[in-house]
Amino acid sequence: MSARTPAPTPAPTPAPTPAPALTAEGLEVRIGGRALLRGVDLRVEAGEVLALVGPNGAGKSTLLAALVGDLPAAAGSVHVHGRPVADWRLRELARERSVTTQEHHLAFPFAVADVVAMGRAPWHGRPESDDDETAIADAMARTSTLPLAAQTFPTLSGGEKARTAFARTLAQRAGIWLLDEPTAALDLGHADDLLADVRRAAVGGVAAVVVLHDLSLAAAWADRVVLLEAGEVVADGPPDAVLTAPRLTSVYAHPVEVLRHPATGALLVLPRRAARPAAHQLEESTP
Amino acid sequence: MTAVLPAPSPATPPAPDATTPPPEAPPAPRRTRGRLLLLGLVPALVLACLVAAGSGQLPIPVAEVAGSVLHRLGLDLGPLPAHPQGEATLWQIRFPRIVMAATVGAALAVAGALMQGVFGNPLAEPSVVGVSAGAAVAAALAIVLGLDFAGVWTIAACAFLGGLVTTLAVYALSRSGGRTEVVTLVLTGIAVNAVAGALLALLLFLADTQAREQIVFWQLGSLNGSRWTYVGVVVPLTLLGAALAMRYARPLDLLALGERPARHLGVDVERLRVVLVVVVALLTAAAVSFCGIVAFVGLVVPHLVRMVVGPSHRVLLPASLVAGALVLVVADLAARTLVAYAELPLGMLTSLVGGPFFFWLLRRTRRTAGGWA
Repeated sequence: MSARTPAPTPAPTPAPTPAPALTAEGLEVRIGGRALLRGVDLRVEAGEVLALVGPNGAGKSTLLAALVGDLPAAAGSVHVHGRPVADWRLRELARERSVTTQEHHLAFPFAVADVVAMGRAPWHGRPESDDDETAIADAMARTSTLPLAAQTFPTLSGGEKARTAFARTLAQRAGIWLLDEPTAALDLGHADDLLADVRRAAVGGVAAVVVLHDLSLAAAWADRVVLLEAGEVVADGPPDAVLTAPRLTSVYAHPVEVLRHPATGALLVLPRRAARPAAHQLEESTP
Repeated sequence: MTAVLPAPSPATPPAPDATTPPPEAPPAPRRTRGRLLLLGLVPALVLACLVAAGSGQLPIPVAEVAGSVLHRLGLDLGPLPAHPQGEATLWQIRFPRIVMAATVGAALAVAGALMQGVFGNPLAEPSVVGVSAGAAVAAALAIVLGLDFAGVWTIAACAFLGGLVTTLAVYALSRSGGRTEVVTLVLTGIAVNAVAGALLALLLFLADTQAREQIVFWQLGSLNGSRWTYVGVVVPLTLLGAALAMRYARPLDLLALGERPARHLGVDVERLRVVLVVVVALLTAAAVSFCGIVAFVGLVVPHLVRMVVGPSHRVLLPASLVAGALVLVVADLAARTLVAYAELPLGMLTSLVGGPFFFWLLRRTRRTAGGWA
């Protein structure tokens, strides 16, 4: 870092803009004649954490699967680094992009360290595989799964499985991360740790798409929030622009209020609930 | 248990170390156990072969068996068989049979381990899902029709085709939503075995006396009458199958995560499946063509090996190969020596042990899965 003070108007040098990490244009997915996604446009740049939110059945996981290339697009396209996702060789793609699915299933009782090591598979036979040991150890240390290293995967709790799966993603060291509800099974501490890790990776140049249910978590850690409703994007922008009480109330068909934390100013998204009557009031009100 | 991977200390960046162990080290205890198991299994197999070669109606001391082998290898070590018929008994009857037993055992164990990996299901096995029966039907058909388009390889070729068709059928029938559920797999196996059994019965009905005897002998499974010419067919097929299997050990590990996650890690799942189904059919054909249906080896052996060294296919496949060979050499020794002047069918013996084991495994799988999901 130089000590030189920056010019008052920082002229952004027009560098040759590289293709965005991940884009979707006019994406449509149909299953059995029913459109699960319609006209979805999405653009994720390196260094950005994008949260996909929306009510159940809005198409969050479908969109993620379509971005991955697991679901064929009925219309529209998905590009990874400017190249259509179907044109990539699978091994190459796995070095650029990691995917964490919602379900953590394992057919055989591999040890946790083995599962994390599977994240290194795309690098096998390349010079980068010299980093395997450090990548694995580092990923396990960051997800606090090191004490579980020798345990077999099926014996883990739901949260431990989720952390192991995330450790595998970390070990893969790809530039694009697609995470489908990585915090679903995690307590609030581990959920925050995980998203902090995603945030840190984004600072290092990773482009991340995270499906989240907890809107306060999305507000706290995402640069951008994409709100889906019935297969369509209804809002795309910074958290405080997207997560407004009237919009969420309408999309979730449930009264929602958005508050600011009194000290930090962080966005807090809560369902609006009537005050719960205290026990003595209940007793008094009964004749 | 303590953590086995070195935690990176935050203060010092991980320095590139010239003495870094090879990358992708799985937990050390299991890896060490894998080496130890192989170190134990190989001498055990050699010893079992020597003992088996010395046992029978004409007993030959182990030292003389070893001496005979060493002399053939051009080493003037150890005593030669004292009995005038000893040398001939060893080289014309017992050695081909023992090599056949070891090869068939290896082929079946590797085929079982592969099939379990491909299906992602520890209960998959060539005889359980009916692939052995399918291969046997095709081979029986070759006998009944008197086919002879490829000489000594004819039966093996037919068995391979039968095995391939059956494996593909089982695969297509028992999969839904990218997974093979235990119930579907076992029920598919029952159906396939029933159809194959009916076809075998039909062939028995159509066959002349000589072919009928040959087919019955197969249904029981036996290594009696193994000759070097047959060994010359079975060994190359098994070596080819095992070599191909080893090439796919790494992607097989990833397949345990499920189809989608494996693809996300760069595995071409469809291609992997097709190649491995062909390899399973190849290995099953190698085992079935001359020895008939020897059931449950492919179920029991990989399972026991997995319990010792864990599920990583890079260790599981070679260890199953050696363990399968050992198991069948010992089983065949038992089959021909348990009852004096009589020979028990080998397939009966393995089923007698493997059946209850399958039952236990079924119960255990059900318990850990919390019912048949």
